[in-house]
Amino acid sequence: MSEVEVEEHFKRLTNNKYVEGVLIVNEDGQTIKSNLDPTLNKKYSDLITKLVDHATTCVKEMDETNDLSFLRVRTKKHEIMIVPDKEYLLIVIQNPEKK
Amino acid sequence: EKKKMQQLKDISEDDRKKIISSNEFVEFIDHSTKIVERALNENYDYMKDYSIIKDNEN
Repeated sequence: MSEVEVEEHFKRLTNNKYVEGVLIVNEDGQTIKSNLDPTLNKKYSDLITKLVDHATTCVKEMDETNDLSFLRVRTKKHEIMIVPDKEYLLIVIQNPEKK
Repeated sequence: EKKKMQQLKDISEDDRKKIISSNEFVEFIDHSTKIVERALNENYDYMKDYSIIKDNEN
């Protein structure tokens, strides 16, 4: 039942016309789920995990009672949206140009 | 150093399945996809007008 639920949520995101990639990684950067090809997936998960580590530390050092809850990175070509949690990260790459 | 070692190894299929069916993971997916979907549904592209001007300048 729960696996079906996870699949549904994942498909809803990957089917969105603005979405180019969805990946879910654990805190060590290992992939739990992804719709990207393995090379791109490895590259993105490694780099984004590092970015999130930096952002998390930054927020904590500014105020130790605070926590990072959402990270959006807008670039010329894409927007990367990251939802961090204790153990997992949801990473969604969207192409806002199509809007 | 320990983290580096772990990053090199891919997670096993069994472990992946265990995670996906865990309550914690299902809760995380439920919560996080809702946030992203809400953000995706914002139709306003707040960069659009400015990037056009910038492109014309170049």
